[in-house]
Amino acid sequence: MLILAAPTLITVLKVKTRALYGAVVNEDRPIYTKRDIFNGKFQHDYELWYNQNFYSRTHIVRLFTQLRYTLFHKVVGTRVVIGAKNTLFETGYLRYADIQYTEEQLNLIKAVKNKCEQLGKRFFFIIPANKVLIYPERTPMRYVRLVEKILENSFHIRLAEKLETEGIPYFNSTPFLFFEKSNYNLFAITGVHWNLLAAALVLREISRQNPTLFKGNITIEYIVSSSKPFGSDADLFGITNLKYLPKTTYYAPVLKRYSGEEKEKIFLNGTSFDGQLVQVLSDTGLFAEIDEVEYTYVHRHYEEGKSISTNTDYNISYYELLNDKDIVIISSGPTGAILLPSLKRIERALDLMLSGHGTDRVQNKLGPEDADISIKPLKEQINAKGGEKLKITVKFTNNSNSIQASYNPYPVKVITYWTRADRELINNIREQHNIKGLILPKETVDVEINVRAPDAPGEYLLQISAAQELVMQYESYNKKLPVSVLVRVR
Amino acid sequence: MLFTSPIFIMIFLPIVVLVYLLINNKFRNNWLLISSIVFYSWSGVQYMMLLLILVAVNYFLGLLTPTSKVKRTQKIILTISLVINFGTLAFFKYFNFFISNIENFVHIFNPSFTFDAPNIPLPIGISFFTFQIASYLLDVYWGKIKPQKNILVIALYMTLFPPFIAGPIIRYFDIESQILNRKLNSSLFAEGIERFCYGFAKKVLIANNVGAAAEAIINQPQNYSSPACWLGIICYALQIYFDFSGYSDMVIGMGKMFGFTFLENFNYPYISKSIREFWKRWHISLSSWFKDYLYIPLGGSRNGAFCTYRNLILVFLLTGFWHGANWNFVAWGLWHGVFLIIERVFSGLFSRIPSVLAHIYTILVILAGWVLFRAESLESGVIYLKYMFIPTLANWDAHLPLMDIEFIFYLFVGIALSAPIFPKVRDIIVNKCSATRFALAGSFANTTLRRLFALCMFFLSTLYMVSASFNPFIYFRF
Repeated sequence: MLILAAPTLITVLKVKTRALYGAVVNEDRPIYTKRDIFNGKFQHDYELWYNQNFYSRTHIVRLFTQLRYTLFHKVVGTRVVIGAKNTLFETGYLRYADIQYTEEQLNLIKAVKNKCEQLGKRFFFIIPANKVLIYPERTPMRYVRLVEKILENSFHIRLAEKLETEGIPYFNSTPFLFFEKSNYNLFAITGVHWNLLAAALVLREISRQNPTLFKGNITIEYIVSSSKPFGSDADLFGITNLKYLPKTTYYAPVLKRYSGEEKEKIFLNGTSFDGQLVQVLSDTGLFAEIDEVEYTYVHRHYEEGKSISTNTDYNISYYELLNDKDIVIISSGPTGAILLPSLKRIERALDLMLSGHGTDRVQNKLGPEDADISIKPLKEQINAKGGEKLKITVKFTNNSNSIQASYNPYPVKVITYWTRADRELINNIREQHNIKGLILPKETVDVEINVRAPDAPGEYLLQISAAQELVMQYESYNKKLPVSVLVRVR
Repeated sequence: MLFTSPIFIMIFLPIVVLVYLLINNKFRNNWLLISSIVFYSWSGVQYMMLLLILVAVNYFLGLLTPTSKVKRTQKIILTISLVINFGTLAFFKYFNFFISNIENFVHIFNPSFTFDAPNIPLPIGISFFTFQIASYLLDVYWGKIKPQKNILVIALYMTLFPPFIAGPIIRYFDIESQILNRKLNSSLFAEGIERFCYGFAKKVLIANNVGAAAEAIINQPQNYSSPACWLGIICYALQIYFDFSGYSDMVIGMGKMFGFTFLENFNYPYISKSIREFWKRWHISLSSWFKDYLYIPLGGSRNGAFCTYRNLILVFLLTGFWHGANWNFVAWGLWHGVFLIIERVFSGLFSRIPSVLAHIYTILVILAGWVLFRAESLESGVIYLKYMFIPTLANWDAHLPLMDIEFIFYLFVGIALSAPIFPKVRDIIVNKCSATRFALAGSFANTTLRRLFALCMFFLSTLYMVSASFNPFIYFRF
């Protein structure tokens, strides 16, 4: 009994242990309130917190993962599986390796390409390779059938065909690397991403096939090998929390540096697979500056003579990153994920450049003067049935001098709540409705509001206002708000 | 607070047991009562208050019942007390079900009709403690037992935390003498720990591991082939058995640690050769409760075939309804009731069926029953049965990712432990040894090895339990 209670006793003494590797949602220690104790919320939240924070949990998890690996060739958690030759795979890439692209995504790629050309920028699209498609023979036995299906009719083949038809310059890494794998190890057995060598081979091939894309050629002088991982070669191994790395060799290229005087600037947008591309591109010496955005907010910056810096910022100005770039490279995810949000923001930034409007830099927190907006519903009266779902469109005009943005961490939202005809509040529920992208100064956009009409018959007012999440209610500074729509419920 | 949660294993249980062992015998019941109140308050103090009110009400109603010498008055008191208890159960467990059915019915005539019923949370263990207290009141009424004059004893009987959440349903008749006068010795305590460890392992190692596959398949049968749907329901059958019987083992084990001897709740139900036998082996405390407090008072099988069948259907209808407020539970209860009647009607035929076929028949009926039991709704249960019985090999390979070595290992262990193979083998060895001069050494080795194995299982289960809460990403998706 004392042994069982030991973790708790030591937790009370606040002895800390080394944290486990991997991204998890951490539970906060709940704050005691009488109300929460009464309804059991405190106890529930405390239990969630305790499950993550008692002393020795990390030792137990590490011991368990080592034991499970030994007994069942399996690791803790459900996101990593072990294939042949101890090759680790992330299950997401095995299970969802065939995401469909949409016409909307293709149209956006085309639009971005055309706008880049109008601005004199060179555009290129890269389809990275999925580990499982390069090494299907290492797939865990029970996933073999799943992978066979993906191999038969894979996303990258269909996307490549479409890009070819549309005349969009692209490179499909999968077939290229599949044939290169006999010469080199292109994915570390312990990692989810392609290794630096694979990224270098792809970029070398791109520069060879598209001589006008980069000023100089990318050349690999020699390849170094090590028993220790390079970059993110062991990221998948990390989240297994196993103690010992499987024995393997890691590879990295040493590139011939370009020594010409005129150097270009490059912008990349894609997924975590871009990390290796940035590393290789910065090593070539071809570029004076590289800005890479992973998804929409991990930003890596490289300047000649400096090392790569990484920052996480929701308030990335695509306009500023793209404005002086000579080359724009977009990549999809290796499973087929085409990043719609980032493509939309790139298109928006290119539009701003073409219109000569200026930056899309978003102020993180707006001030009272930025609450100068107006909202105008298209219909001022609506008849509805009790509980009916209503779709109401309003014109949102930004009269302020700041950009109203829908991006985290402080998104601007349209707010609605219900009152009776005499403006008495029905309840305290305030519903939020997203605006799309950015609303520039003096710009008007349509915002769609989806609400459910009250159940009981009568006359109601749907009050419409705006707020910046965690910052301000516009009503507090803008006397024109809220505006209302009369809803007659039968 | 689940028995298989770190907070119970690492905080609650060690404290309760340590203090229990350290204090004087006369304070032990009070300590158990306090511990039980804390245990119940963990789900919310409001529920604990409800429970304490019910304790007080039932204590006084229990006292009042035999004081009245007029049978009619006794009957009225009993009726009031049963209405209070079953009314509370009905309100918390069945109110939302009742309202949603009324809403569905009115919808036929008025499609726009909606009724925003308050969402009433279900206090944990209410089904169990209602049945426990009902058995007390009925036994007092029938004169089988005397009403308890000490409210603390009644309070302990009603709130005792080990059987509180998932049974077994303990009758006052069986436990009164143990509450008042029980002795704890080291042998019983060691047996309790051993039993607790095995129960913990059954739940965490077997039920959870096979349950993951069951959940994946049963939640989306359209993505799997017919054989996979069969696999899914077999996994569920193992999951529910090892989950429930594991929990019962933990309860019985904890009972022994505190000096109680609770009745067994499971006896290898999947080796049954008829549905009748199944109900003698599955959730024994519930089936015997229904038998003693409903089936027999209704006349049992004494009043001819029609009344017997009516009683059986009624008992199993209520058994189904007791398990959950949904039509699929009712259908599950009726499914079993119907087969019990069939077995009675064709008893001659059934007695001539070879054992193997009888066993196959029983397992098929049980598995089909589990489909209804596990389904989200009656409709989805019927759809799942279609996937099982109308063969399709489309997506024949979809279940393969679920079949890792660990799952296969626990699946086979689960199947093996569903039958009394190991106890029989152990008994044979022990009997062989007892006839030799190594009898004493054999017996000692048997006990020691069994307990060591139980501790190993406990250790392994703790690793699984703690690690279940850790499922990291490399980094968060955006």
